[in-house]
Amino acid sequence: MVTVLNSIDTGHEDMIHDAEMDFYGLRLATCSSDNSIKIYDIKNGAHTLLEDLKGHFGPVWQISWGHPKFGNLLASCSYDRKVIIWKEQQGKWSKYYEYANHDSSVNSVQFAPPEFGLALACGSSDGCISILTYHEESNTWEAKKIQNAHAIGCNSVSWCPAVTPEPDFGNDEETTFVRRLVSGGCDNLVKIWQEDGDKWVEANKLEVHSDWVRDVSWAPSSGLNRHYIASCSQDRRVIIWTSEDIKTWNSNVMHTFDDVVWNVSWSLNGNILAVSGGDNKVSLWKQSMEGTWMCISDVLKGQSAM
Amino acid sequence: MEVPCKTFVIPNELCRRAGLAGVWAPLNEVAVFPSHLVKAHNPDAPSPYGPSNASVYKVRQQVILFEPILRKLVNEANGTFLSVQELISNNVLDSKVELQKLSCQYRSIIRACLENLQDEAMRDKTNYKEELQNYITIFYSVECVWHLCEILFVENIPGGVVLPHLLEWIRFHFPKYERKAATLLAGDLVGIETHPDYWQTVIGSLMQGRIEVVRALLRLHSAGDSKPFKLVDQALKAMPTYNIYSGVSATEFNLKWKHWLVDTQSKIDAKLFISEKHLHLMMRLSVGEETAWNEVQSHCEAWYELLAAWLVFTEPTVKSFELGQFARRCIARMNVGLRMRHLDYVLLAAMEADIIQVIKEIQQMSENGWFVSHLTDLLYHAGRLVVLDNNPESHLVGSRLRECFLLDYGTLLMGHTSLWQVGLSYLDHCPTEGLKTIELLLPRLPLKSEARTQKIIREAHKRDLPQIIQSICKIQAMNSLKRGHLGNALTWGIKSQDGTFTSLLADKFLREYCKNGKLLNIDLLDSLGSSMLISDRLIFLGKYFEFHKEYRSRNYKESANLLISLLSSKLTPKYFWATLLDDTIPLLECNELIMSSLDTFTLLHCLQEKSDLPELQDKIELIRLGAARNLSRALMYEAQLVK
Repeated sequence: MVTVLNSIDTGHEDMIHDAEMDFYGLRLATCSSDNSIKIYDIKNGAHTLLEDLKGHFGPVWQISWGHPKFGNLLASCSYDRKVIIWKEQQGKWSKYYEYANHDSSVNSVQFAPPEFGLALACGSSDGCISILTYHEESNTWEAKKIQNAHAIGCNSVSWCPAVTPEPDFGNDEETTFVRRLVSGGCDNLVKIWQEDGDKWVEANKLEVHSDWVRDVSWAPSSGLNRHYIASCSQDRRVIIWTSEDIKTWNSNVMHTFDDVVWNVSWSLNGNILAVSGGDNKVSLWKQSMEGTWMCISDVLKGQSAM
Repeated sequence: MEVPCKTFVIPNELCRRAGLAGVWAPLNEVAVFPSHLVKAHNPDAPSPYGPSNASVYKVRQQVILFEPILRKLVNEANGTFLSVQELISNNVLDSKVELQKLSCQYRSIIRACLENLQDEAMRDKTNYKEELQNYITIFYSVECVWHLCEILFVENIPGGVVLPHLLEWIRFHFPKYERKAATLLAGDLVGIETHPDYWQTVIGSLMQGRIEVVRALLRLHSAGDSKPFKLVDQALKAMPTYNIYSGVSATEFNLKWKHWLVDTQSKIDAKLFISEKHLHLMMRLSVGEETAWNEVQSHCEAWYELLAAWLVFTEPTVKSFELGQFARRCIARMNVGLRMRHLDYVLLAAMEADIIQVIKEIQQMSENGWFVSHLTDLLYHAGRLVVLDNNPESHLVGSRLRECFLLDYGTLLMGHTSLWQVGLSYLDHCPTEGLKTIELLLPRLPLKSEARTQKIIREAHKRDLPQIIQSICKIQAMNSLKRGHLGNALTWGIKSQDGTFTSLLADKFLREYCKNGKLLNIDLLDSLGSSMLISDRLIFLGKYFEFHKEYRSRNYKESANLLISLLSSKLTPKYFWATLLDDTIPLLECNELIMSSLDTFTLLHCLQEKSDLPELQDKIELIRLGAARNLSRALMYEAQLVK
């Protein structure tokens, strides 16, 4: 059985495109086609509107919360080609940094795991991916761009969790993590990118989907030296990509749905995948001990109130 | 095993029309909201769906374990779980016996929980009563299955002679005859047979193998001294019972048993009991007469009640591994094959020794994995899952199976504000993925209060997760800074080991001093010690504070040394030079000579270097003058020393 803990009437004037809970699950941010972003306090079952952020001039597609160790940050991306980072200071949210170096709608933003520092990845319909990195010493944002990441456009970006590199004996000073990303686009491809010196290079091109890739999500690390990426596509399929060395990847079609699949989302410890799409359902999937993916009970379906 | 997916409905018209999307939220929740894919390439115009009820639904699996009434069950079972782990890690020789004791302990926890639920259900007059009844049904099944699994898989039954244990199990779960017998014996003994329950109780007790009770009740019958009663009493007294410790071998017992059967059968055939139809039935049951059993089986509530009774009189030496076939026969006999409840399937699987099937079935028991995780753990440690590892056709591995359940259960509890520490203890015992899961979940616990934060840090510390501690400390520092508590922020900042961040905080202290001439949080600065080493700016702040302290205690010589070392340290922030140089004036103007010529040269050198600083302009002459005067004093004094 499933219980609705609470429902939050967002008051948006048009469709919501993303709803993200902050790091602790105490605040909710939503973004909408009405160009606005709203932030709610949702502690103890009640909800209070904290902020109504207006700064975009087009539908806002996606939002991402920063890790609280960097303060209270929220990033948003919009049809207006802009990425905005919002910051809370003295209880008020305001524009902290604006990035407008894309030539088309920005479809996806995600803050990096904190081990990678304060960094943000953005995927745009202009086919490029931008990686913004904050430098604390100089208080500046540095942008690096992957040109032509996906022909016709990039729909989704997702960071690789920070994995401890092979222990480097004799050098127990600061461990540096290799920054990686996965992206999905209108060229039907899933691509893995890796930072190499001051450039981002394509590490893998994963080719199985036969239509636009709508969403990709790199699972939080389970500790089993095994990486999982979920991708979903217009071709109605969800594919689980697995790798043991982040070099070679195997694909496994988790399920072919009745309709286009829009979103994939991993649970916090990466053991359950939530899938939603055009079939009007959200379903939860878990890998059985035999290795196959099974829909575990409780599919959520929309229906008008009785 | 195919489990049909349950569909849960989100009562929202927009969700129905447009579609919906779900996103995971900390810790075990999903945020569901109406959604329809419109990205780029679509015209920038209002969608056909707005304005409408755009709500976000926070959805979670229903967790009955979070009900306050089940809290005790969760906590106490945790204690037993930890005892099991300790027992195993200590490599006790006789762990089997100990494991069985712990299994009993689990069962007594369930029993206490059931009694508590029953009391509450009696008292409750609200809608909650129904819910409580539901919990009672769930935990009754749990208790029943656990008990049987304990007998079949945990207990070490000598020779596999399972019947006495099976009877004990049946008596425990069908206590009605025992209760009735007790009521009868405690009541008016004269004319006891007129009691409407009398014969039902006698026959029921017989079927549960309580021969002594049957004999006692028969003796109280007003015709107890009549011949048929005497004969039945004799026959029951003579009935051999199989006991592994009696020194009688199975063959020997069977011989005795056959003899008793023939003897009793001959009495039946001689129509010795025919005058008392109940006694006649009892004797026919004892010799396993089919027609007699057909008469009584409708009184059995469940097939396994019949099974135990039937085994007493037909297969007294039955071995554990033979149970399955007899169970199936009883199910067929009672014709309940099509009406099997979930509990029936689990018990049947257990009797067929199909542990995997048992585990699969009990996952569906809707108590959120409490049962399956604790039982699987116990079975694993009892060496019962080894079969999996040895089966080349199965992809399952016993240790993995156990770990998966513990991971799910631990993760579930981590999502509760006051059960998270209990959750941690389960994750601790997941050798492959436990620590990583803790790493992912522990930092997500909201830092509601200082005390709770300290608790979380302690748990991280116990598991040697310094990066988590540092991250939490950093977050606390940011929060303190946001609230304007600079001292608190610095304390947390130092613990976070974040050099750049503590530099930023130290800067705030120094700038505050430049502005107001006041050093904040003196106690904290006084106790910095070696922790100041994480950042240059903090070292500067710490040393500058020490200079002030020495000066205030009139240790001018020491304070001057500190000041000079700061001047030559290259650690001084640009904005602080004027303040630092200004601080030399009282030392230069002191009555006694404090600064040596060398010190003064260092000062003059710095002064020359920084002479362009605008904020220094109105002081520079004064300092130069002071330095010159001090230099002359120092040179003269030092010249005298040389002589």
